Amino acid sequence: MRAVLTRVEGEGSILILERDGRVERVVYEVSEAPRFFEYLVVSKSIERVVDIVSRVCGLCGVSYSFVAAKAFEKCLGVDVDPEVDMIREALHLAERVKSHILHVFYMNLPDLVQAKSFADISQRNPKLLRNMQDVLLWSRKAMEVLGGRFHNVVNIKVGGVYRVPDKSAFEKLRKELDTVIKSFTEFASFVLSVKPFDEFAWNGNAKINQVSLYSLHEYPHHGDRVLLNGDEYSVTQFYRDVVKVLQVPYSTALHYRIKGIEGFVVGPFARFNQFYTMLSKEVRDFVEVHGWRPPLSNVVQSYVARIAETYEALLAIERYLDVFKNAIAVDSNSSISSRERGSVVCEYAVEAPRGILYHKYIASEGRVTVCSIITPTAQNLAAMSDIATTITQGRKVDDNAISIAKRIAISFDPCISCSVHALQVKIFRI
Amino acid sequence: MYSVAVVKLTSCSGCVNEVVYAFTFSDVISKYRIEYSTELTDVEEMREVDIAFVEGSITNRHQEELIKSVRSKARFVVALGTCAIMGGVQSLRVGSDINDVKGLVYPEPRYIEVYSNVKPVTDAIMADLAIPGCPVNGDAVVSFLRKYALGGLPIAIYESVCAECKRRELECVMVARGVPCLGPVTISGCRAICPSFGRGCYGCYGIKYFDLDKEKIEAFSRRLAELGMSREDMGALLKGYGFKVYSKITRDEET
Repeated sequence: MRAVLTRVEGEGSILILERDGRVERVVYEVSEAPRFFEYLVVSKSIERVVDIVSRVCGLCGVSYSFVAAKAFEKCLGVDVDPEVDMIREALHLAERVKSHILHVFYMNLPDLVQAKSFADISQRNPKLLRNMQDVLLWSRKAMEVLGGRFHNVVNIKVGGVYRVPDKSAFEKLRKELDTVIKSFTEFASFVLSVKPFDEFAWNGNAKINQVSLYSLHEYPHHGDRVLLNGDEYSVTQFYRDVVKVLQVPYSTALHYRIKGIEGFVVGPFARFNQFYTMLSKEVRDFVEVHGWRPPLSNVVQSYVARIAETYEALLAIERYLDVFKNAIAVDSNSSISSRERGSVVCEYAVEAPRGILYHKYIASEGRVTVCSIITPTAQNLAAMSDIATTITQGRKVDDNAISIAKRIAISFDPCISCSVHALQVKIFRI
Repeated sequence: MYSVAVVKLTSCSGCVNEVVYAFTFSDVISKYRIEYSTELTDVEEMREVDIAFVEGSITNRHQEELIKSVRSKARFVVALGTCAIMGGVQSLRVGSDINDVKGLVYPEPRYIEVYSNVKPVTDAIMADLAIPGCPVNGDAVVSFLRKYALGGLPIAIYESVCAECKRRELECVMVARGVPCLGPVTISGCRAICPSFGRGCYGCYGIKYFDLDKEKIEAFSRRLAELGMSREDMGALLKGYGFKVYSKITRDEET
C-alpha cells in the first residue's frame, strides 16, 4: 500500500510491505527529482560554490553556505576574525529558530493537538498563532540583518562576511528580542504542556544509534568531530570507515548505515539526548518544569528537543548581539590570502536544523574538482524506516498503521529536497 | 475566500517558504485558504482552486504531466521564482551527458529517471503571472495576494537591479569600487540586497528578457572581464540563474 507523505518538505511516499494483511516492513520512498549539486559545482570557483550550495535547501541554506565556507577556510588556511565568525554563527542559529518554529507549528502541532491542519489551530487558538508569528517574523528580520534575506542569504563568503551589519541594526534586533523570547516561552509552554496521546508504545529494548557533532564547550553547532553513542570519531573517519552508503531502487536519496547494517539518527533528538547538559540552565529548567527529561526515548518526542534548541538559540543570539552592540571593528573586505596552492581536500560539518551536514570538496587553483555532500535527511532515512518497521511490524495494515508511519516521518522533519539533494503510502503484498 | 494550491517541482522549497511567510500576514490569511500543499496540509490530491503557486522547474515526464493538470485545475497560475521561470541552478548540468551527471552522484545511475534538459514551467504551460527571484521576495507575494483580493491586473515594472540601487541611494559597487556586478542585466525585485552588502549582484533574479540582446551581453561581459570576473564565472552565473535567456542567446550564436 502507498500513501502520499504530507506535512514534510519535498516529494515522497510511504511504502508498506504487507504479508497476510500484516505489516512486514515500512519503507520511505523518496521521489523528489534530483538536482545533482555534486555535479553542478564542479569547475566552479569556491566563492560561487558557497552561493550555489545554498540552493540545495530552502529551509537550511545557511547551513550549506556556512559549512562550505568553513571547509574552504580550513583547507586553505584562511583565518577568520572571531567576531566576524560570530556573525555567521548567529545567522546560522537564526535559521535554526526559523526551521524549528515552522516545523513545530505547521507540521508537528496538528498531530499533537489532533487538529486537521495549522489553519484549524490558528482558528482555535489565535494567541498561539500570534506568538508563533512574533518569533518567526523576528527570525526573518534577524536573517535579513545578518544575511540579507530569509532564504539563500548573501552575506557568507570564504574568509568571513561581505559586510558587517550596522550597529543600529544589531541594537534594534536586540531590543525586540526580549518580547520575542516572551512570545516564544508562551508558545513553547503550550507545546510542552500538551499531553501526547500515546497510541503506540515504544519498544524500550530497541536501541537507537545517535550521532551528533562533538563539542567540549557548547551545544553541538559546527566542527569536525562526531559522537556516536558516546564514541568519538573525526568526520573523515566516520563517513569513510564507519558509515556505508547504499542506493536503493525506490529512492532518489542515498541511504546510510553504520557498517552498512544499522541505521542511526541525527538531528535534534540525538543532540538533545547526547548534549543535554550543554544547554543553558534556563533552558533545562524550562524543559523540566514542563515535566520533560532526557533522554527522550521515542522519536515522536523530537519536538521537545526542537523547543529546547530554539530557546537555546534565542539565548545564544542574545549573547552575540550584546557583543555586536559594542561595534565590530573589522574590515570585512579583506581578500582571501590562501597559504595553500595546488590540490587540497576541504571538509567540515555543521549541525543543520535536521542534523549533521557534511561537505567534502577537492579544490585546485581556487576551483572545485570533486564534491561530496551528506545531508541530514539522507542519514535519517534508514533509521526512519527501521523505527517505523519495529513499531508497526505484525500490526494489521489499516489507517492506524499508516498514521503511525506518517507520524514517525513527520517527527524526523525530513527535508526531502535536501536528501535528493508529500508522502504517499503504498502497500505491497509479499 | 479564495482557495490556494502550492505545488513544488524540481527545487529547494525556498520559494514555498516565502509563500508560507506571506500567509503569516493577518490581512492575507483572512482572504485565502491553503487548500493543497504537501508541506502544509494533509490533502493528497489537488482539486480545483483559484490560485496555484508553482515552484521549481520540470526535469521528468511525471512533472510535465503534473503541471498540465495543475493548469487545468487552477484559474490563476503563478510561476514562482528563478527555477520556474528560468530553469534554476540545476540548469548548470544541461549540455553534459546525462549519464555522466547521474554517475557522479549515484552508484546505480539506472534507477534515476530524469530529462537531460531542464524546462522552466513557462515552457510547458501558460502562467498568468511570473514572480522572479531565488528565492522570490516574500513581500512581492504578499503584494500580489493583496492585489488579487482587490481585483484588477498586476502592474509590471520593467527595470534592472540598478534602479533599485538608485532608489536606495546605494553607491554603485562597480563604478566606485570596481566590483564586478550583474545588476545592469538582472531583473529587479530584490531591493538590491547584494550591493547593499557591498558585493556585486550575481543575477539570482534572472537575466532580463527585455531590452537585452547578444551584443549588449557581449559588451557587458567584456567590462566584467576587465574588472576581473572570469569568463567561466560569468557563464556559470548567466546559465545558473538565467538559463532560459542564456540558452536563447547561445542558440542565436549557433545559427
